[in-house]
Amino acid sequence: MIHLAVGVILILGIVLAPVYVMLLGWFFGSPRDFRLALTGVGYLASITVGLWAGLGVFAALLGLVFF
Amino acid sequence: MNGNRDAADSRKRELDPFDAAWEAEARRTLQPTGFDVDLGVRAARDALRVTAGELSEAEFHKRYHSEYLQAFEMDARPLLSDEVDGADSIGPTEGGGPAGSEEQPALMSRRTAMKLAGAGAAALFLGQLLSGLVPSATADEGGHQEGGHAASGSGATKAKAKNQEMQMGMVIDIEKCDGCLFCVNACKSAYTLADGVHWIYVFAYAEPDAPEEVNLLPRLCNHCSNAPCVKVCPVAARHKREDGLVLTDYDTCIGCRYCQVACPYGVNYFQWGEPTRYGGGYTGERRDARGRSVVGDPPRGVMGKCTFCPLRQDSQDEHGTTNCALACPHGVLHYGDLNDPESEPNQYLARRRQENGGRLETFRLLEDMGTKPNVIYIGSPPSREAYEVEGPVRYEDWGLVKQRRAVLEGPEPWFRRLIGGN
Amino acid sequence: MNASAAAPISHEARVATILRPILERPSRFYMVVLAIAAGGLLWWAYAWSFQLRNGLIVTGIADWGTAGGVPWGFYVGSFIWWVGIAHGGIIVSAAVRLFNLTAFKPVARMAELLTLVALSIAALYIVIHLGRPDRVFSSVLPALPTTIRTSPLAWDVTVITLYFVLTATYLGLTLRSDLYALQNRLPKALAPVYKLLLIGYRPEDKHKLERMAWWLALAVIVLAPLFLHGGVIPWLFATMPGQPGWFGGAQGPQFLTIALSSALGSVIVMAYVFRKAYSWQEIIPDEVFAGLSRWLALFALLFLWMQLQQNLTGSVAAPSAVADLTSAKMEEPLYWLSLGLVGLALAYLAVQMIFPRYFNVERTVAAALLPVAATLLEKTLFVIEGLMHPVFRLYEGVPGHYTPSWVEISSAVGAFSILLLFFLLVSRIVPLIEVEVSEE
Repeated sequence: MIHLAVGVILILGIVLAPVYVMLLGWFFGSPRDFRLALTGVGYLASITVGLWAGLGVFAALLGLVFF
Repeated sequence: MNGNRDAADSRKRELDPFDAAWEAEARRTLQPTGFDVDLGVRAARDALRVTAGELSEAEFHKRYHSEYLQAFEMDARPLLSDEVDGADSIGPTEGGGPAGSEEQPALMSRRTAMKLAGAGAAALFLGQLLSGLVPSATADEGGHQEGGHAASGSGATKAKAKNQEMQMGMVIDIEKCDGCLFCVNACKSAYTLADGVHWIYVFAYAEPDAPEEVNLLPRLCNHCSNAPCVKVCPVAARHKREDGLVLTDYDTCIGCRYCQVACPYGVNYFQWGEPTRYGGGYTGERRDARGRSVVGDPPRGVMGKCTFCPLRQDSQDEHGTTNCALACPHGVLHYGDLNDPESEPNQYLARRRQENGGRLETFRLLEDMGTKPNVIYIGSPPSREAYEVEGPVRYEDWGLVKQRRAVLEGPEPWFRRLIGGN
Repeated sequence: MNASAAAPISHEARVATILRPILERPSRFYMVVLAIAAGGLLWWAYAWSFQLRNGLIVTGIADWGTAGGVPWGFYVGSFIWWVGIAHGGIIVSAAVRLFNLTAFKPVARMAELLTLVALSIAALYIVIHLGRPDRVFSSVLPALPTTIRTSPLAWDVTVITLYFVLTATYLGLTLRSDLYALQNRLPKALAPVYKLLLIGYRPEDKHKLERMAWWLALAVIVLAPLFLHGGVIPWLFATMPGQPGWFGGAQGPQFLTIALSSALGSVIVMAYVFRKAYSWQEIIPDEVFAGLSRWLALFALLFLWMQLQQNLTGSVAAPSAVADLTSAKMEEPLYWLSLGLVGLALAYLAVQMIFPRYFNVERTVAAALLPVAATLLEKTLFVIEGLMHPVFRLYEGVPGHYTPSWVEISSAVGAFSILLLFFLLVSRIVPLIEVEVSEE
């Protein structure tokens, strides 16, 4: 039995469960349209990356000016 | 007291221990303590000879033993080796010399305590003076003439059970504490802690059913084995080292203060502003043996707390010591590897238990919080109704600020000055 | 001003009305608000730079313990509050999509936009409250695989990111059909923006996109209330046994009732502001306010009910640490003020429900403002009182003390300015009300 930390079970197992259901619904719900489902995933990924990249740039600027 | 800055300046000066300039400096430092200045100067010189290898520890101990008893009513200097017959090879000799032990007086007169406070400070400054001369790490032992507690084991042998990890911790004998605050000042000086920052703090409290009786409880970071601060840190800046020290990486910390909020003991002190604004400004070595920046009063914007002196633990000669434990004149603080049955704190516990007829009341703070703290107290715990009272020595007597909030006034913006007000 | 009985307007008229903010020149009122918001933003930029140059010492927070302060204060209270307001988006959208409460359709999109900006402001509050905000990216991301195991703050960062991304995706997906349908009517100057948002869009995608939006709403209706404001946010506090005012399973439901109350209150206020500004009485009829206010009344009731749970169990036979904190909490006049405001709103909304002839949109909006303000107060008190009454009682000799400084109060000015600027800008780019689906 692998020991899993509470946070791993919580986030990957419980909190993300609705997202897994959503992804299943996107890909396998009718009407079937993998292209659009992938576009949706593309939105998720690109917004996440954009968000954090933006934060990174902002933080770097702060560091440059104030620290 | 401006001792911190004097000591820092002194360190930078070149001094020869046998020349007139050093002696004048030493006399000047020792004068306000009220104790015998000649004794101090002679002992300091001989302490240097010990570190230089010209004089044995046992001889040094013997030479000054009776004078110490006369001047200070005690001699708690450690013997670091088992050169002397019949003495404990590890741990302090309390009020006794090689031939046996006398009982230490249970309560020191307040006058003596005050004088010791000043003398302790002087000893520390002398120690810093000396350590500026002698590059080896053992200078501190020579300088701390008031004694404290020795490294666990001589020659830095880190004995530990093979299948158990090291966990550095402390045994604190609160029955011996007299509230002199040497430990508080030692830590503050060593790490240039900002005003009001008390990595080690001594509570003076009373219980409602005995309001005249002042109890004392030094508290410092417990370096818990199940530390909540380590678990909650979102950037893993707060971490536990292999030897059990819980440390903060000042280069990673983002200053979210969640560790401070999660710690039930209240031992964390954040650096709210530029430390030089309020008595801080550590300029010493920050990196431990792993190269991580964990030592000293933290820089602006990150969190700090008692570190169990990682540079000492990393060194050959000073392993198993902390500044506070070394400074304590009464044998209250015992530092070492709690997982090693031969370590100094464990030996001390065993000895005390024996002296007490086989039983000893001990406790740890907030044990039911599940933090697994690594500080064991000998004595009885404060009740929930215990309340703080003024101790025998005030923080102000040391030039320390007791409540930090008093000094945390930020700078004013221009418009505040414009529209009046202070 | 009861517009609900009027004959339904034509689709064409509806579209024209909805496009008014985008197509018309900005009114004088708009320019005044813009100037105020810009001024507020500049002021806050100065205050924050003052803090960045001098450190957090310019705030009213300090160490707890021997220092006599509290390390978390208005910034953290505001953070929690803004995340709560961000839940308005999903409540309304889910109500519309999942539960077919179609009456609320007109306010769904603006509520989702509110979610985006409120979450951004909440994230900004985290950055503001850090001692080293320049490390928020470089220190947090690499450590996440480790810290996610045990740190409630790491969980927080993950779930807030998730909620933001899901809401933005939802907006992105649902905006596309609207923008496509309106292409010819939108300002030419913004054509590149619309082209970008419409990349790869085909009209036949519409049905699938609607289905995807449905699944998304389903995911978020579980994620946001149960795992964000009823989850990782309260878990920051509920997992701390050293602060008995925080610890315990009651915080999850309590925080949720707070989120729901403040979120709905905000949606009501926002809907009214836009209705007034653009004369949208027919598109956002009184029914919307009546319906929303009934839900607000329910959430306000649940909020007070959760307070009762905590106060009762904390007073009757609680362990001494909990009892001490509960009595301190109940002796604080500001606490009763916050509860009183919510109670007052509840009382008025209940009267309105029982006696429909007393219904009035303006009074409803005024009542909706009360829980919005009250929850900010209550949450800030929650944060600081938890730290003022720790289990380690020996520190009671140096009790915690806190007053927010001018820098902290300026952050509220900044936050509201950002909110205003966001809507001033976005309202001129995308339709604030769904056009396609409002074809009823």
